[in-house]
Amino acid sequence: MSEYEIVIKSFMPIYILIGGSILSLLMDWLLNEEKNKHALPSITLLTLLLSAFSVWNRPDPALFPGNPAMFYFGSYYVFFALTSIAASIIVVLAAWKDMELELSLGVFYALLMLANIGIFVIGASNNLIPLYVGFEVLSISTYAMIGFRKKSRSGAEAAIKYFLLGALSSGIILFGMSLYYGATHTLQMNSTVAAALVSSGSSPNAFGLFTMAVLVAGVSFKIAAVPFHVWVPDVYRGAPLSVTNFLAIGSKAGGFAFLFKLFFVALLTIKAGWAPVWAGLALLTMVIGNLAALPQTSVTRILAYSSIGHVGYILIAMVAFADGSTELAVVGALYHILANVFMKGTAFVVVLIVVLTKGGDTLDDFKGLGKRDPLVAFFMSIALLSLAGVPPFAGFFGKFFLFYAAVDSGNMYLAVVGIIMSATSLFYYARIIHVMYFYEPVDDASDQSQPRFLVLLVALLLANLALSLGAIFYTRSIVDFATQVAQEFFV
Amino acid sequence: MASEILLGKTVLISPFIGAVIVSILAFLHYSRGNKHEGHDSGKHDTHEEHTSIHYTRFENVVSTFGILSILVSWLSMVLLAINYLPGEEHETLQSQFGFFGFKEGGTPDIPFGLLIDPLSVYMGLIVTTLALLIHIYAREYMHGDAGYSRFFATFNFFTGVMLTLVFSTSFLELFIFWELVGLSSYLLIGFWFYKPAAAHAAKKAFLYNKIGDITLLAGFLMLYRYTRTLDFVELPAKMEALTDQQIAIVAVLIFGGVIGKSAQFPLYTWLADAMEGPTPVSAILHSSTMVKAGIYMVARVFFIYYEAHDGHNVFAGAEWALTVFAWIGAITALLAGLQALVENEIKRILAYSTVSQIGYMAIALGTGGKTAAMFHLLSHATFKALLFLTAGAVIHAVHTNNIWEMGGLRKKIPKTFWPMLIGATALAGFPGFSGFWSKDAVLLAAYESKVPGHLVIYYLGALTAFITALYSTRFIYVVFFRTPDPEHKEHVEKAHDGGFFLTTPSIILGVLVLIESILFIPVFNFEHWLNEILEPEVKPEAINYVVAGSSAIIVLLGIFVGLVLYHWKPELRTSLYNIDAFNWIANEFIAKRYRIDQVLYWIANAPVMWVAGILQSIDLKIIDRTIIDTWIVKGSLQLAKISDVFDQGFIDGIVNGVWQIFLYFGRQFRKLQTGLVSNYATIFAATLVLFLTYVNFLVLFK
Repeated sequence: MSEYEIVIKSFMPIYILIGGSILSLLMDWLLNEEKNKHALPSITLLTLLLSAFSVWNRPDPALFPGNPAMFYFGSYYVFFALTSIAASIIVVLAAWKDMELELSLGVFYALLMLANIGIFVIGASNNLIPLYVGFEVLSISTYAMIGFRKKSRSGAEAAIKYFLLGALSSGIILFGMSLYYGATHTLQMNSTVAAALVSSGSSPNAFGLFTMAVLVAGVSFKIAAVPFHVWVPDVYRGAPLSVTNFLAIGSKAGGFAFLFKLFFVALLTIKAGWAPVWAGLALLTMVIGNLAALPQTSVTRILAYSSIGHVGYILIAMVAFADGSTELAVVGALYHILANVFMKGTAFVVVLIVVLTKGGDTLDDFKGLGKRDPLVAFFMSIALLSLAGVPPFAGFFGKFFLFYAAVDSGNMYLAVVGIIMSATSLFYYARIIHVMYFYEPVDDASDQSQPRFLVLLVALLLANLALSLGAIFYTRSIVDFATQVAQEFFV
Repeated sequence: MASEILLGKTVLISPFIGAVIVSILAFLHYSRGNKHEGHDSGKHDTHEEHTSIHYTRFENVVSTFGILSILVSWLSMVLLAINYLPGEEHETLQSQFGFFGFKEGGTPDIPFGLLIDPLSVYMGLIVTTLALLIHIYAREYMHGDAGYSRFFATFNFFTGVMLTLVFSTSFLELFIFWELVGLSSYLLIGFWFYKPAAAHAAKKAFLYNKIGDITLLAGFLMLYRYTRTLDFVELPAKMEALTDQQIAIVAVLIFGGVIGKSAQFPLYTWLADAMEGPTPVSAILHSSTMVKAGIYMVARVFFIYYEAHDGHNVFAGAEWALTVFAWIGAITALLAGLQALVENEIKRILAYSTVSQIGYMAIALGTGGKTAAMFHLLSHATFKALLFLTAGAVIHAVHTNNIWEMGGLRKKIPKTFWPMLIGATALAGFPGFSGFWSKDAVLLAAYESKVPGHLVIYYLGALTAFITALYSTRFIYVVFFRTPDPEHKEHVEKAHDGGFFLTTPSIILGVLVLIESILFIPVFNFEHWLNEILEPEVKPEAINYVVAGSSAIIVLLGIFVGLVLYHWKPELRTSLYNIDAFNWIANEFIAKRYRIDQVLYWIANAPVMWVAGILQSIDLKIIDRTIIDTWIVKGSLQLAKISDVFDQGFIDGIVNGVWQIFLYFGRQFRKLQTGLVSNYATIFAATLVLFLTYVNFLVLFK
């Protein structure tokens, strides 16, 4: 294969997504709305699947031209690309019904595909420029998706809020990156270049510390770590629910891809500097996220705070990574991010179903769901138990890996706080289950069965169970994969 | 060996297959347009609706499959036991069908699979036998309930989960099924979920259990960190490398899990509330599953506390954990026993008695008597299952739960009376009955142990034995012998025995208790045999006639006092209750569960309320007083005075107009507002500054 061919093939998934988004914009213009209602999501699904297929059939990443190469399409890339495609498929299937009445739907699906490109590029970058470009592509498409429902005031408000704060954090990140460049005189990320951030021994020098502080603040916004989480409940509540779903599962995975690239690769040498900062943020995020969820009455807000809590669990991996349990930390983080896609995805799809039939997302609207629609209530209960970390669902194994990584790296306190907080979280998850089963429906609104939703929910449940069975029977393969990913960090 | 593994797998899988078959049957039944469980279907409300021939036929099919699957499980369990248990050497068999390990190229450190050793076979035999009898009983007991198929599916699942817990081969596997036991008991306790009490009880059971599970999870994570394996076969050899401190941490954390699951002080109140579930559920929960899981787990991981090759040597680190556990057991046994004495609902009496008896097992484990604990577990499982099944039959006959609304039932329901009398006699520990021998073993373990204060524990245990005899006499006498009160005479007259499926299991269990009672006589050496298979490394204690004799006297005394208080001199009871202090203790303190729930609630709630109080006072004092009082109120007073001067018509108009415009924009922008977003941005900026300051200090003071 010539170099040219390798580049083309490596970028093929991204080209396919670009093609798909152009096609959907054209269709918006060419076909009428009635046809587009079904044609657009189908085209998007097809594009996503094609793209996933070509991610799988990528050429050997080591052959990518350039010295040093700007991109590396390795296991890390594959994991995040496939995770984001899985998340997007969930979102498309949910949006099929959720967004069907919107005008210029083609724009929405085009934006969704573009957001995927952002995550792909983040996963593959070896250089700060493409890394940042990917990050912005992801961010800007999500800003637009949040405000997509033009007549909805809360949507517009959420979009503006997210945009203003996002712009602020982008600025902070750029500042951090320029500091990095100032210190190292390169934008290439690898573990040896970053030596310029370290003074004698292994402690970071002033340059390194400032770079680190600024980048921590910038990235924390994207992944919504406390105290940079304040936007989450408002934006999750304001955005259309299928977009909220994408924010919680897809965009979040992208944020973590960005975080790990920056800190595990670019700033690896100064891990002694950032480990305590992330430890503090992980503690804060776990505690505040889970406590703040307790008094909420809107299920969307409960889930919003619960996803803040989950960010806290995943941040444990940062500390464990820095303190030597490299592979375990990677296993925990990646596994939990993937598990999050399935369980949080299910929960938001169920919220969407309830909102579509009842018009609201408060606990009152969930009353009697167990009788109105036993299947949906069942899937919701499984998803919530999984989120709470009750075995044998995937959420349990994610937490088990993470807490074990904490224990293994000698940070017992993180595991203890995590375990206590996940027990606390059971209270608000159990409240939803309680409301669904132990209360009579407020009125007799009968839910129209949506076969498409049911198929999606079944698929998500199966994925959840498959993931937990994978944890039991294929732990070694999971660990091997994580080892590969970790080796990519240390190039 | 291969055949034993195969049998073991059949034991585990068959209940799950039963659950699946029942679910499929239910799906077929309801998808053919049969009426689903309605919104407000209470067991008694819709009794007519669910006795149609069609529904009864469906019930029969469902229960047949449910029972058959357990029967298969039981049969293979019996075959396994016959194959495995006799003989001298008991090889530990392990079959892994999956593993969970991190080490590269090494042996799997957390296997998933089947562990067959004397302990699991012994426990599995108890679980399957009782599950089978209780399933048969449930066939008739649940008749006419709208959720018949749901009951059998969950019940089968529960049995399967418990069996898998018993045969777990690693700590992680055990924990997963431990949690599933909690989950399915949640479904069973809250089976009649439309009753608020049941829903509440189910939630309480789940959450109380969860508190224990937290420490258990932390405990085995720590164990894994120290030993790098969670395999029950490999673990014992690795324990000796641990330091005292490490063992202490693991030991105490694991006991935390037992306290939640096995309902020990102070987390035992959920078990009494769990009586809201159907009676078969109570029977299985109390006899062999759920609450016994904690005891079983400690027995399984006894090597954490006592050296594996020499069972007499306790690890120095585990010593105080064991002492605490024995004390908790003793306190629980006494407190719950007292509570059974003042309780009036028959199922709750039995529930507290379970808590009290598990306290005995905890005493045994804490004082080093693994054999004694498992011995008492067997005898308690049998007679408590019997008592619950007969109690269910009594409730079935008179439609009330309160013992004071019964009386004189001896002649009315003989097929229930005789088994229940046998069960109660065994519970009371009447000399010669099964409960007497096993309780004696527990007391002996406490008496001979080296745990600090073991004699006090022994005395507490003996006192509990007295109380046990007393309350057993009480409820048997009140239910079966006492002349019923005139206002309850009517339904007592109408009482009659249940049908074949309702009475047969109790009769079988009654016979089993009698067989056990004979088998346990020291001449037949049952305890020695148990000792040999469970812990061959420990030399059994010789029978101690002082302990045995004194407990016999205590029990007889208890029964005598019971008869005095309830039969010969009932007026004595009245005069006792006339003493204020006694009355207060009985009705306000013991009957209200020593206020444990309130204290726990306070402990959980107080810190939160405290923080909230501080936050509120900051709000009130600083924001309200300072800003609003001083600046805004006083400022506006001043303003008012000034504006009073200006306020002459035209200014009023302008001010109002401007105000309206601001208000309009304010309303429009209130949410889009600069206010909130800039607040958020301020938080970001402030945190960034905080980071930079932190970094700055690092740089400056390095």
